[in-house]
Amino acid sequence: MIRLRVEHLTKRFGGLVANSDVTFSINAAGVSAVIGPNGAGKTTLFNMISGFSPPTEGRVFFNEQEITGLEPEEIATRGLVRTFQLTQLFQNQSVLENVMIGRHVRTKAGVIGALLRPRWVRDEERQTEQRSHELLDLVGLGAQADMLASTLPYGQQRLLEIARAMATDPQLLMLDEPAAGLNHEETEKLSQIIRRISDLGTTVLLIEHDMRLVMNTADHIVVLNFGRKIAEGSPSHIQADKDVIEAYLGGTEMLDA
Amino acid sequence: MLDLSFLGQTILNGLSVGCIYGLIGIGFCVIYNASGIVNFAQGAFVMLGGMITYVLVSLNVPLILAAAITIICVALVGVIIERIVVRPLWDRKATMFVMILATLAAQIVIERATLIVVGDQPKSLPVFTDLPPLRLFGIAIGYQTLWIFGTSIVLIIALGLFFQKTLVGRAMRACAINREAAALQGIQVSHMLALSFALSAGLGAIAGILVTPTQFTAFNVGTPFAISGFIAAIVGGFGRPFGAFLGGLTLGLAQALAVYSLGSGLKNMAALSVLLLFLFLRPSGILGSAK
Amino acid sequence: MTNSPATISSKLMAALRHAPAIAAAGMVAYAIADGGYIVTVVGFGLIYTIFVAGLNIFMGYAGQTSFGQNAFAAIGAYASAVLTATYGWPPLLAALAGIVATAICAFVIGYPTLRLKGHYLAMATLAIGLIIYEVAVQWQSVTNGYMGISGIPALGIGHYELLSDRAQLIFLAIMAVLSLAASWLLRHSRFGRALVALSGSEDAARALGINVRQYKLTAFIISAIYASISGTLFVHIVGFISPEMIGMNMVILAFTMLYVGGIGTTTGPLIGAIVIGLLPESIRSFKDYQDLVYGAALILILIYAPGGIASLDQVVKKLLRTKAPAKEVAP
Ligand SMILES: Nc1ncnc2c1ncn2[C@@H]1O[C@H](COP(=O)(O)OP(=O)(O)O)[C@@H](O)[C@H]1O
Ligand SMILES: [Mg+2]
Repeated sequence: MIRLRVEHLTKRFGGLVANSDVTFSINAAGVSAVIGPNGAGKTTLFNMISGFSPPTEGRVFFNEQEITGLEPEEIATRGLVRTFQLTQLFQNQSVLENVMIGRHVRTKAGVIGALLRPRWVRDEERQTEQRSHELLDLVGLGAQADMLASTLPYGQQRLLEIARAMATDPQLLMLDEPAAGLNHEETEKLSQIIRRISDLGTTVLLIEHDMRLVMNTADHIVVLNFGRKIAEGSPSHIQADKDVIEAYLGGTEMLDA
Repeated sequence: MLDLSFLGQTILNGLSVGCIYGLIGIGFCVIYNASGIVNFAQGAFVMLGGMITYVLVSLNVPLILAAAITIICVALVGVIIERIVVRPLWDRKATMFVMILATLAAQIVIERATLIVVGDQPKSLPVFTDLPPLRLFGIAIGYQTLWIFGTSIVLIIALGLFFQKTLVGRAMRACAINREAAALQGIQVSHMLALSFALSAGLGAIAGILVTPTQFTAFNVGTPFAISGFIAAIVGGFGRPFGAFLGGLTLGLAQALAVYSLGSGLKNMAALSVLLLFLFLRPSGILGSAK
Repeated sequence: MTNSPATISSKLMAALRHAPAIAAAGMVAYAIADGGYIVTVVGFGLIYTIFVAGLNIFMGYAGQTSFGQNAFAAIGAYASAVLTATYGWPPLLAALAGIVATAICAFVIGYPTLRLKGHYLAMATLAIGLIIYEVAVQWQSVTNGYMGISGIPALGIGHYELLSDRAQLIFLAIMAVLSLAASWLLRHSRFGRALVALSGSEDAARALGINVRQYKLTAFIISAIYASISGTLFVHIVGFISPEMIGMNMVILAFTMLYVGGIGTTTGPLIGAIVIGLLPESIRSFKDYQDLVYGAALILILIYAPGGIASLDQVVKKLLRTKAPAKEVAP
């Protein structure tokens, strides 16, 4: 089954072409990755898919339904959720509350429910809290639930953002450079968490610079350079691709990691 | 015929007060460009301009000297506000909202302090040139109006030269374009902040001195003037000093015409409606906003 | 239960965190028991508690800006005043009509206004407050202009009227407690979490499926309803309303209370309103100094204690921490 399909996506900022005629599709099963040098247009691609910046041309399909031009909140409600290259946590809230906020689209209580607290709202609150604790355990932050998000070390902040996104029960989780700024050990742990998320049935699409993480984690890779797709395929296929090696300036040292 | 000259008179008066709004609007832009701060204490400078001059004149200081002393004093007040209120918040990277609230509070403190010192009676100044008005097609052109037009034009040319030709002026413009880059080039961004407050307070004081003989001044005239100046800046495209002046003229004219056709009770309503109209329909102003 | 020094001090800290709110509540209880002149002051503080609690939902929880909430207090106040004094409606019905009118106005005003950002939003909301003030002055046939409306009856249902000062104060205290309880319930719910989310990062909130515009507007309307209720209570307690009572100074006063009490905390509005409400009492003879003191207090709080009294425990913690090493080096 195809989870995500993009067709001829193009994005222009004035004269600058950030993405040009990008077409690919992502299977529901497994982990996929978008790689490419800095400025290749990876984040721009994520922004178009997740509704944060409408494409100049082209279309996006999620579970074979067109979502081009929808608002981000609508896309998220349908089950496509992304994280940001620069973490966007709710810094003044507790770690637990950050994840509870992620349950928004899967819960229903409104203003009246909040004020009157009927049984179903109390049940919903309890389930929200319980599910959030489970997700914190999934990323290994169970012990930090009551800390302020801003007091977490950087590596844990990135994991919290993943737990928060997972709280929406997404069908497709898109991670923008989740390993940026992580040390070796943390990256290793992240790789395991991503695999576990995928095993639990969520499609994962990540942007990554860390070739080690990509080659170990991804089943399918799309390579962008100067806004164009230059290659697509399995990790071994990509590692052998001439255009890709060239794009990384003969950076074989990056690829054989 | 009589009605037509009344309309002409209305337009002239509208443009004249529009110059004042424009000068205040420029004051907003000068600080905004140097720092990204919207200084809601701008009206206090205008009020102090008229009020300090009044106090000095009533102590028998000659008008020109009184005006000069006042402009310097008010510029100092500007620097003091920058040091005491704005700088600590700026250093802490306080939110835009906190900055607006703090400057608004500073405005109220100045306003109330003035009330305590000089009382709540309206004060006025003598006109600068005490001659009967010129008459043109049945329109009376008072010398104070000429003073307002003349001074505004001179100030705008002077400001234009200052920003284009002088080192300091160019440094301030560099800050407006990109503060980080300006800092990297060795421009003392924090000095620019203080300077922008001095400059904008001085402009506000001049506006206050010019306008007081045609109306009056009282401890609480600051807020309406600040709002008019802000509207002028919005209409002109926020951050464009020359645009703010055009915006001031537009606002003065619109207000005068509203009063002419709908009655004087609607003066403030007209100004606020112009503001909302621009905010909702064309927030970048007539010239497009600076950034 | 272990009573190690660490748990004791953390208990002390927890107590300290609630101390200001308890003290403020104690002040209210004292006023009810005493029944003397203090009743007026505390009553005024309780009415403002409701107004500021509403402001806190929109600004503290949702992190938005409005300089124009006085507009909604004015709509509530004038609706109650006109409908009861001029048309003889019962107070409760007039209050409900005022709330409905306020909610509709808040929707109509908020819909275009909340699209704006930064100083544009600040100025647009300020303008709305000023416009309502102008309307109150100019719409003489209804509002009686600067002269205002007097002879507004006391609160009551049928033949039961709240005539005594003490009865009124008890009623105000109940209303304030209900307002704060509602604020707490809203904050600790899916709705409140959506508000703090959009306050923290609009992009992140949207990426999680939160309809940012809808939640901002809802918070704005709720905040306006709080303002409307406080306006209604005000006119019935004072028996009089004029444009001067709903002008800019009301906004500055409310902001001072909000920041003194602690923006974003549930009990902050009560603390701020009681503290600031009592402040002029200590300097009663200098009525002219009142706004001067509010303004200066606001500046000082913004600069030196942006968390307000509610963050007192943080300040104490910081002091203890900086003092601790000094003790060690002492002989
Ligand atoms: N909002 C924008 N306006 C103008 N240019 C942009 C914008 N966003 C991204 N770009 C440009 O598009 C190109 C691709 O950026 P990006 O997608 O962030 O690359 P990547 O994530 O692959 O590093 C860059 O040249 C960047 O400067
Ligand atoms: Mg990127």
